[in-house]
Amino acid sequence: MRIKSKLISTIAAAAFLAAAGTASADGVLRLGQTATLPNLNPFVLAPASEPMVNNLYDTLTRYDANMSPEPRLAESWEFSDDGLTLTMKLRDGVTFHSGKAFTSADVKASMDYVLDPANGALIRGFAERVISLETPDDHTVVMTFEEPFPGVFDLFELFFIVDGDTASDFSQTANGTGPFKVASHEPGTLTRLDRNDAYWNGAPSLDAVEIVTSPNQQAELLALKSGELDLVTELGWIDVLPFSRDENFTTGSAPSGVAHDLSLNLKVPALQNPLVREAIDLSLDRERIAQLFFGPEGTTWCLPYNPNSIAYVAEYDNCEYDLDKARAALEASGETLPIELKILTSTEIRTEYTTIAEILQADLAKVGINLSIENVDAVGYRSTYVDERSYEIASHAFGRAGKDPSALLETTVVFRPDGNITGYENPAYAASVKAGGSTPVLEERKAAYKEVARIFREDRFVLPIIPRVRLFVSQDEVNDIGWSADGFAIFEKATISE
Amino acid sequence: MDMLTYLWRHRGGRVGLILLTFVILFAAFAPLLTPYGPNEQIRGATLSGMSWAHPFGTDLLGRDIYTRTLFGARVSLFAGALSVVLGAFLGIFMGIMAGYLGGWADAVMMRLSDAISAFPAILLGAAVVAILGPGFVQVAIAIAIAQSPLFARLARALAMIEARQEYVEAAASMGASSGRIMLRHILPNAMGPLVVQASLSVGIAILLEAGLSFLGLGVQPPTPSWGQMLADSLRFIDIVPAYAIFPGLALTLVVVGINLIADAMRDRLDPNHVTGGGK
Repeated sequence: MRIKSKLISTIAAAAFLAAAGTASADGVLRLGQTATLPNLNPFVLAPASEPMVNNLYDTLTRYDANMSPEPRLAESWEFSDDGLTLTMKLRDGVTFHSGKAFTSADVKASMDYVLDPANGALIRGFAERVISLETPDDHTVVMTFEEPFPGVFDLFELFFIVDGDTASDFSQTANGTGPFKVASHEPGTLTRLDRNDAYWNGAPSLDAVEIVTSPNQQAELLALKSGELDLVTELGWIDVLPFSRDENFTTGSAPSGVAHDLSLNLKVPALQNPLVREAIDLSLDRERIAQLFFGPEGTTWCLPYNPNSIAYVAEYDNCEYDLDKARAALEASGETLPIELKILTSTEIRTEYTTIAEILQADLAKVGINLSIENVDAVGYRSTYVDERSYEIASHAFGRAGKDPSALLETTVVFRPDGNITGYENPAYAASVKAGGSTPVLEERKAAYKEVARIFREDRFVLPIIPRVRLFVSQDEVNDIGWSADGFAIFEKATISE
Repeated sequence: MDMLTYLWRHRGGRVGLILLTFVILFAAFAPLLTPYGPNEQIRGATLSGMSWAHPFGTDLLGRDIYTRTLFGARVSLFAGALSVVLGAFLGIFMGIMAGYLGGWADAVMMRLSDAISAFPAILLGAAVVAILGPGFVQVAIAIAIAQSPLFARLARALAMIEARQEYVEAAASMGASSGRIMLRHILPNAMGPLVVQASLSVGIAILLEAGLSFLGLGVQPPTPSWGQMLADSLRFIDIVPAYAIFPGLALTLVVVGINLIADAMRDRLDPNHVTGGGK
């Protein structure tokens, strides 16, 4: 009997310890994510790349918590009086993981890589504002712009410096100057980054970071509970809730730089009707979506900026959820009701895409739009949304939210005036976007962006919904994780206490 | 009627009949058994626990889980029945051709059947859905293809046996075409074991549909299906355990019911099956 009770106690204790979770004692921080990291290319900027980019690579500058650029690989910089030239002095003594010295030639090689359309760099459209990049010596870079470029530090935030000699193949290799270097990369399984002892800013405290691909979020959370993982990000409020009551874990939030939207394809006849688009906007229950995903931390967006952005205009932050008005708008639209529309979503990319689609579907059914949900895999989503542009409405999320509006408006597929993914074309919009992004004078920028906000809310080709909050849970022993302005994890100063 | 009477007198068959009748009745009269629609979102009722208003609780979007479980039965039963009809049609066609005609027809049909059998059903189903795209009909087709070799092999063996019978030789000597002999003479005489196989396959098909829906490849949201509900419930199992329990229980009951009926039918219809007696 005594043996039996001891056995039961031992099993119970073991189960408790397993359930409680403990951080790795070996100095290795294990981050879980459900998205597969296909390669080590820092310019693709897929969600799966986010925990990799700032740890393998460095940038010329990086925003601090107050959104002021701080020196990284560039030690200092100076604009010419007309704002058309930027001269940057590069840090001396920096080496790539291979041991090769970092010079201005690598900045030029990185820019050339970004500007080559064949490489599919997400920031290419933004980088095209740099019309020339000269390297007068190994530690000086001179950039020239056609017009003043106030959003240039947004570009630098995502302009990762790669080794010009190896930049053609990111499948297994990544020669950056970041605080960690690649030890192994098995797509779909695990990517291990070892500490870079020669890091210019001092070697990190962690021995290594492992980016572990989990089959699904549930498996990820169970692994966190059992101590197999140390950190999980990109969680919903309901996922975080049980951990917030457990002293073995730390929960928190970081800016994500990502916001949800509905993209309305203006090639679809019904969506060419502004009253139909207005009805969809009025049927979008942003408040409910924000609460459902992020609880008390959830906020709603009618314009794609935070209220502290220079482009924010309170008078145009005017969306409302009103099904009666939506019904009236549809009746006035002259369209034959009910209107049949499809919404593209991909649970594989983000479960929230489909949840938004289901909420919208239920509300639109009440006003006279039958919305069918087309839930496809990640490849199908990209092909339908980006390549073929054959969607009708897409549940989508855009990046660069929360930074300089020029980055957002000029580079993201949903907002850029040229080649907009919705098929939207408006010379007045294009002119205002350009004006806002090509003058350093604050009042002129504000005036231009006010006009952008007016047109944006009037034409409603994209409906911002909510900014994403990057909710994360880590083992209690994990400390000092940094986050970039885009919400990418930075482990340079992270520690695991004993 | 004779078969129903037999099933009612068979101990296992009776239990199966009761379970299946309950599920069919619940599915058929679902709108009368709940005040909510299957996709009706009740504001402020996110992930509420079990209550009088919501006996099984509600999901993330405030939809009543009891209602969705009832309506999910329609998807499961219909997917099971449709895929078995399609699979049986395809497999029996291949099997009887192979068994009666022999030669190249036998070689081609059976190698095709072997090729399909080489893949686990869920993997084959996932591959077919990957090609056709997710959706109810696509899933039924995927399951039908995965199950067709079961019918093909059985139909081939039965056709080979029947082909040697005197009534077939008599029909052939009177000038009946091969098609007529296969359809009018062999098929009716081989139906007993094939019906047993079909009834056994319904349970498997329902589980496969649930499996594919669990993987997100089946019926698309917001249409409720038990597999999809089980997948959704994983995230919230700590908060609303009923979310996983009741669709899982419903799935278990319907599969057990169908298998009990199939066992009882096998006792009656399959001449090769030796039974200890279910009565």
